[in-house]
Amino acid sequence: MAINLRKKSKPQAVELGETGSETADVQGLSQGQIIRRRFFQHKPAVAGLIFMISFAIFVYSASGLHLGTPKQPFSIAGWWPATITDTFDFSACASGCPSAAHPFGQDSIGRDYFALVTRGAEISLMVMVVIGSLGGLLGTIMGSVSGFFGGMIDAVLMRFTDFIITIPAILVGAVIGYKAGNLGVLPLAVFLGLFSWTGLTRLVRGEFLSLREREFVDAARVAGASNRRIIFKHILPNSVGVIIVSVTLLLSGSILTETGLSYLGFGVVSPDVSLGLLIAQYQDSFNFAPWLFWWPGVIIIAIALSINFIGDGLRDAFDPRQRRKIKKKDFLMKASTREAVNK
Amino acid sequence: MTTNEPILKVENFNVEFWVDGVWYPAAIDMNFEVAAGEVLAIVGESGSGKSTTAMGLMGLLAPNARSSGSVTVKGVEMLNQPAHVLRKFRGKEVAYIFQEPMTALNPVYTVGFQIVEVLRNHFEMGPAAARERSIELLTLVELPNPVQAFDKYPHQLSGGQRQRAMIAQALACNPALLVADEPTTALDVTVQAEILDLIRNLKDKLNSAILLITHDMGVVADLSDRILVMKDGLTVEEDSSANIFNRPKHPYTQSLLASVPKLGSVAVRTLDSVATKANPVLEVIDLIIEYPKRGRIPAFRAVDGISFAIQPGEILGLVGESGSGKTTVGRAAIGLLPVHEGSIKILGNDIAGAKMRDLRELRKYTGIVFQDPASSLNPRLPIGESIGEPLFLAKEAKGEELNRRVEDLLDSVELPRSYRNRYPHELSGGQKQRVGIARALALSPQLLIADEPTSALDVSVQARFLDLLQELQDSLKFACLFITHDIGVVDILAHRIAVMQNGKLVEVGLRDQILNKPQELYTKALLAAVPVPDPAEQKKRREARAKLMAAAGK
Repeated sequence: MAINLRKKSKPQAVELGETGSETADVQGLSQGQIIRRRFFQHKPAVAGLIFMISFAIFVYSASGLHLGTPKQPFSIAGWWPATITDTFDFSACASGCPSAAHPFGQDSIGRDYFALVTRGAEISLMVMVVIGSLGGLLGTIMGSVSGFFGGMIDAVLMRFTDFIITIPAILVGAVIGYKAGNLGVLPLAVFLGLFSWTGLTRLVRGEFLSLREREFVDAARVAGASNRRIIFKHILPNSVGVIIVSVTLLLSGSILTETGLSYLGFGVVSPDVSLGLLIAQYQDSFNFAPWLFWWPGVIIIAIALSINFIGDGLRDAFDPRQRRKIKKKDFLMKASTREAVNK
Repeated sequence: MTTNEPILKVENFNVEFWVDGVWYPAAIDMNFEVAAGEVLAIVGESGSGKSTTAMGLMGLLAPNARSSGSVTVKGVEMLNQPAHVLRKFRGKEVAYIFQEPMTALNPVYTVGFQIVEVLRNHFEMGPAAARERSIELLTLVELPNPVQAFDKYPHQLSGGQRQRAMIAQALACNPALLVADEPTTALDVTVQAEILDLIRNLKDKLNSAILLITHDMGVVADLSDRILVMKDGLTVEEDSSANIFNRPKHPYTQSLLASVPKLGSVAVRTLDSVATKANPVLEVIDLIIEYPKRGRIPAFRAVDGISFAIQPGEILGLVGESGSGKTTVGRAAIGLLPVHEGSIKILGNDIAGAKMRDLRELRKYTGIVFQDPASSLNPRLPIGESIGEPLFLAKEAKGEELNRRVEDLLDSVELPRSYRNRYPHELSGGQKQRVGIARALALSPQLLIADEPTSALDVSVQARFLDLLQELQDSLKFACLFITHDIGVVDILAHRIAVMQNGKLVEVGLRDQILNKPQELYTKALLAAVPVPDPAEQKKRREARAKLMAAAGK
């Protein structure tokens, strides 16, 4: 009964997103304002954004900030008492299962798994953000310039791209990791970012090649727009769909690259951890200590999902054709249920 | 079955589309018949449901459509039949000619292959026999060099030739019913006249029933036997061709007829004598423009030594077929194309070889309206921002001031102010073109270049658009280079007319002089090709045109 009641009272909250904007229609809104408004009307995207921000704050505050190189560490402790190197005895649970003292459980040598997972998530997030933003930025700029100007600039940039593509990133990553493994994770992430822009460049260039021939580009030029304005204001928003899909894939892919390198022993080196490393280490423990596998796994899935939702929301916000309307059918359905409640 | 049995019989035909949970009717209670050898024209503006009706006959609608009623072809019910039944009729008994031959033909197959495919789908026929029959068909549609054309790809043919190939494909199986959906809308006036001639000849030769879909009353004038006028999915009027043209009953039919530009029906527009003495706004001297060579394709000279000038407040109509170089002139005049030789002076400043910065300065005095409103507005930019961009970039207005100017501009092109937050795809073609004008006029330019602004519009929308442009020109007094392929359009607007052919100016003169006493044969041919919405008059014009073409051939 209680469940029924709650279900009936819920539909009262009618979304007013679209109708509420009616008054705003008379004022002039810029592209940016409209995109922002549309993004915040996209519920999954906002949920994803809130999750990502709160998760990052939670993780960073729990395990603290870790800067500097492994040789000269500089860190600020978080609110969680245990660190990734402390070992505890198995007094709470003989198998190391989650308990009050160790909410995420303990690993095989007695380390606090919550500390490991938060620290791992911190590093994975950092790697992802660095690779994603560096790869996304470089790819977008290289592709835009190459596609927009064409000719010699295009030829040179594209041959350079081909050259980068021919180098297997994992191999160079391994070499760099081996030579400079003691530099820490950040330089490695930067380095991987420098090698991950090639696919995006190709896609963006293709988009630009077709979009620059459209008449609205001529129209902008006639209006007195500079090349920079045409690229960033006119053409780029039209290729945002491709960029977002590609960067979303790049972000999820960067976790895998980092995991692969760590698995080979060249990426994140012990005692440091990352989510990928944790999964790689404990993939066999699925039967006897499943929490060792589940915590990092679930967190990776949650991160990847929220990135996808944010990407969806951005793409829809940039694409004016994706107008979300309240369906008439929905209105009717809501009206009828409300009547039923009144009776 | 008697000979009087109609080929196509449509009864209580309804089409509805499912959009956002509601069924929207697109065609309501259609009833019509077409007999063998008869041409029924369905006329209406875009959105009136005429194409939906044509596609719905053979179940070619989108998956979100439903249709009801009855459609019989040669006595066999077509509506809601399984696909294998329809397939036997499609192509064989009922053939379609589409609007845009470039997209309706598959670009990766030769024209011949596509005709052979239709033939071999429906008949037991060997490749050699099919090839022979295809060449026969290409000859029938008067395609030059049919044997060579058989092995050509669609992009190697001109627009008119492609449409001929489409017609040959449609005729492959001697269809009992030919549905022509806007067959000439994408073509020039002169090519349109040729295609209409062809369809007329074929009608007599093949004795097929023809269903012609068009928005242009001029096109149907002497081709159709009966006309059905549609508006908002409803049949407004159906009658014989002569009755519709001479005694239209419904006001909508009357307004459709009135919106077709008639040559010489408007009073002469005169210029103030003071204006003509002033310095020209645009002066083009011995202009040559070449598209540089690319790989094995040699350089192409699109404009070859033309000279003309436009005085303040004057509208010069630049007329020519597609490929004559008129658009190239327009784009060069606004600095979008490099000048090969000669000079273009805007307000006395030469833009040939000018630097980017100097060009940007001059752009404050010029505006351009592009041909295709769908492509000339940035799809991701709300139209208010598109209109305001020239003002913003010229640093004329910002913030509140910019908002106010955009509102004024929207008012001046008669669009509601609330439209400023809409995206281009939410506007109709005519509205988008108004936005195009508003943007071009944002900086109150002294020179407006209009590059075929009406060619993507319906006739009735075109008429309203031209009225608006004329009003604006009367109040703002800008000079205008109006580029078009339709002489009927410049007739309404222009003070002077320049005719272009193959990159050269053929004739320049005052409007009356060009329209009434054309000196050059080419101008005469162009004039004769304009269809007139009056069957008797059009018949006379057609015969006169045939004589003219015969004389030109000698």
